[in-house]
Amino acid sequence: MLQAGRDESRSGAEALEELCRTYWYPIYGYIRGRGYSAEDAQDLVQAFFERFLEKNYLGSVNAERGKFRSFLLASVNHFLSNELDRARAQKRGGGQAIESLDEQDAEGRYLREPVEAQTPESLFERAWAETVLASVLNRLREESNAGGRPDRFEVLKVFLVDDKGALSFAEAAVQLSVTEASVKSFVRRMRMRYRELFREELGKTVEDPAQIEEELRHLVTVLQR
Amino acid sequence: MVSNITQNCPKCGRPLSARAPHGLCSSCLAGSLLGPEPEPELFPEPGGVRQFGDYELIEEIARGGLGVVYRARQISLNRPVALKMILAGQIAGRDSLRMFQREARAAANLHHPNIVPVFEIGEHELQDYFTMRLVPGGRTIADWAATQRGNWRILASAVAQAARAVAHAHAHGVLHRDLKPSNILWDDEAGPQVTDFGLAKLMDEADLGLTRSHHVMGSPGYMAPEQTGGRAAEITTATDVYGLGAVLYELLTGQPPFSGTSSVETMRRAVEEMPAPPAGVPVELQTVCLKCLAKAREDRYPSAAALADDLERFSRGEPVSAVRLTPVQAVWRWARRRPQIATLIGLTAVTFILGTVGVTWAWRKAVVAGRGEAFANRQATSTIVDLYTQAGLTAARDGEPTRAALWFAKAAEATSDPSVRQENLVRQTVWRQEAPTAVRAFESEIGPVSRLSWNRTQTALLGVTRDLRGIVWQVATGTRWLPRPDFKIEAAAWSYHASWFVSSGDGSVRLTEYPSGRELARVPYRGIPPNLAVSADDQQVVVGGNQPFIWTVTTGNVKPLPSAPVPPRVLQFSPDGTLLLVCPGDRVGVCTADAPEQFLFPPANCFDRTALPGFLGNTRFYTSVADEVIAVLDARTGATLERYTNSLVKGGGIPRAGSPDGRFIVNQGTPAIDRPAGFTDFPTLGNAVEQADFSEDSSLLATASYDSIVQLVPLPGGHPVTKVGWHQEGALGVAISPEKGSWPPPRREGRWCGSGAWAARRFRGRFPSAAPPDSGFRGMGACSCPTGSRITN
Repeated sequence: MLQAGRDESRSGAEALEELCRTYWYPIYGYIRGRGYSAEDAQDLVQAFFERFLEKNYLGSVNAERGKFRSFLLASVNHFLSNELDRARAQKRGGGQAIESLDEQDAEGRYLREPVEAQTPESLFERAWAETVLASVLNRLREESNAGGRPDRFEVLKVFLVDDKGALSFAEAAVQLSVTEASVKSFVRRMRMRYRELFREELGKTVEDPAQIEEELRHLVTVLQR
Repeated sequence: MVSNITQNCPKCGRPLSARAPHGLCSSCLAGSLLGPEPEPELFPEPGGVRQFGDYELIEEIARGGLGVVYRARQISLNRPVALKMILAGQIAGRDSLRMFQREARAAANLHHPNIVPVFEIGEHELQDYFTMRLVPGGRTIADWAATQRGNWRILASAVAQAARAVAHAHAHGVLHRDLKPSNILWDDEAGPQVTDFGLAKLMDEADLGLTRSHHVMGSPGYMAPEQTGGRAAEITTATDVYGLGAVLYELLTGQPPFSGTSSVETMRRAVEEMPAPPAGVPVELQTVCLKCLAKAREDRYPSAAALADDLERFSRGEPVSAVRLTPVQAVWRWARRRPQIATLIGLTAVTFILGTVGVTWAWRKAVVAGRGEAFANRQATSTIVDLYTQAGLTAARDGEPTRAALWFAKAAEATSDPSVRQENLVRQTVWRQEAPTAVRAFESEIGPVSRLSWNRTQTALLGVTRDLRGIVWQVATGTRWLPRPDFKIEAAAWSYHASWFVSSGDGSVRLTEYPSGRELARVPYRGIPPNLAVSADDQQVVVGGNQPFIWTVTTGNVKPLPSAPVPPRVLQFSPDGTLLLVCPGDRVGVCTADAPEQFLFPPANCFDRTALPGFLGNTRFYTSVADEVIAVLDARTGATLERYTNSLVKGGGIPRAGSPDGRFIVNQGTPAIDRPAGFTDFPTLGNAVEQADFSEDSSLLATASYDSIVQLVPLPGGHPVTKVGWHQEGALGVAISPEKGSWPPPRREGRWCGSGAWAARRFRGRFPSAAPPDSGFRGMGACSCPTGSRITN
């Protein structure tokens, strides 16, 4: 809930930094989509986040607007129009480096973006939504596989999208050596947890919990486009 | 762009890209987020009994943060148990599972009559669980206490039992970390039963990241201040002492020590506010309770056993060891928790109080012994008033009128004697008049001003906004003076004699006459708008940018500076105008003004790109040569003369300004450098000084910092005399006017200091809802202080 910017404590700063790290790629994709070279885009994302974190822009998020996604995009636009020259001049001159976990892969990922995602804005939105999805599934996998059952998620993940497809509950139960009822129960809990985690992730990026559902519907529309 | 499509989704038939998360279709995953919620599981079905391994689940009896507890029967042993499993709807998440296992393991090793014993830990059909003794009655200690209100000794005795149980856990290396009434059950025969070691952490076990910083653990109303920030390392046995105090508080008053409209609000109060003393409760028991709830861990009982001892003393009718805070202690503790506000009072003065606390306290105890409490309190109050007054007189003698006025005000407030009060109010009024005050506010409707510059005659103030527009105010009237409506500039500087200023922007460097506004000369530049500096004789202007050069304004001659890969961000003439310091990127070089084509020596490091290296007199300069290392170098040879290292204070290695006499270097963070003494600690330069300016005679320093404070600091003493400004988004710019004089300035012949920042539509705490820069929001440009006859006429 945008606590990251409100909180002066170390944990607030870390939370903000983590958010920035997570959503590094959507910004990169957007800047690339605006026509900058791969190298310029990397420098610009870096400079943008440095400035963003240094000034704690988030502390001044307008409460009415409320969504980190919109705010980040508006901030990038503002940054690109006003600070481009400066950023070029100061090219990665030290300071705090906010690097994506997969920075090297960013360009590869960008090149794999579907051609139909035409505008930089739509590219940004899709990348954003996929980033949320990926981060939620990673957490779900970690959680599911805890407790010495690393096969739980791999076997049962298909039930997140389909319950009548390639695998039946009975087959899954055989694979995991448990009863079919336990599989059903676990899948039910996993689906609920998936929804919970998704909303929890969105909760980090909106000002008001009431906006979570709206943001959720928006991202679903983007993903199903 | 190329598509990289491998196969289609078996459900919707859409192509699955190589980026599909875990091989699943994004579109279908998105679809699963909507639609009806899966039915929650009911264990057991209403009215029924469900078998779960060796157990029959009979009914749900409690839900906690991590698990749900059932009343159950163990079939093989035919005994009633409480069975706890991870909450239905949650799978055993990595963190929660670990906590769950810890709870079980921690509790299984504890054997104490007031700790709920654990029978078994296991997993059944993908479901983790453990079983405990079923405490009959299903009541918590708070339910029981509601029937005992007013029986203070009995309540104290019950909490003492719980404290003994917690002390036992501590002795076995287990912290509870979530003590609250609902985690202490009540057994009519055995008394309190501590349970739910869900957040327990084995003290000798490495922290496996369970308490990641964003993971707030505990229950807001009962959490110790150190738990609210996720500061795992600070959570100790003292945290459980706090928790026991919170339980005691609720048993005594019927409510937790802190509550708020939201968890965040509750936690904020737990950090910042003192709990209200429990009303109607014997003073000694109040004192015990409040000692547990002290903000600083070292102010609480040293152990749960010590708390149990005191509670048992109370329940036996004996005197307790806890001592009520004296008013001075209360002030001191409060000041310790609120350093920024304490700063306003004056840090040295707080220290001064600290020095006298011991004396006062010991003295008070002696008087209490001899004369009784009421008399002692009167005497203590009178002594405190004397201390305040003395502190005020000392500050006044030291030429610090603001602090003096504050102490006199405190003395007036503290006393109950009308004549003493009157006396101190008069003193306060007198010294308040001597203190600097803001006399003029300059408004900038074009946005916040980040840099400010006075002209030498103090008739005009030039500012540059963050979005690179120039603004000039006429000081006498406070009104704007603009040569052109769209005065887009990157940088600007006044000539020494104030007859013109130079600015860069829109492709030209211009000299503009003041106040006529006539353009005297211009020279083009290429690339980004360069920054500028003017030599002390007004003959030369150095222009930065991609191709920096020195421009002799009288002749129009241009001499290039050494080329550098990036434009210099610092350009500075030495005070005598013979040398020029240039800082492109992470290097800093010096050349002569006459022959600027080559640096005098290979450029030195400038480690941090936000550092602002500069001259210290005519022969030396400072720079940050490595992380948190500042060096003073010979300006002609580049030889290192002095090195200052401070790894203790973050930001200690990012210099911001040097005093003209070469003695002080101010850094982004404290401490500053006092060269004869090494690092000094001007007590409160604020957090992250963004700009600093020294008066020409080095007797005064002004700083503007990110924590929104603008301060004036007399040198070399270093006690800030006044907080000039308080801004929404960090102070942006500050500059001291050139007028000379001694400090403190005689009344009405003062100095000036300006600072720029956002103005707020409404002030709401530290992080108000300020609009972003493009919203047409009106910003305040600069305010000035302190007295200054030219303005107040």
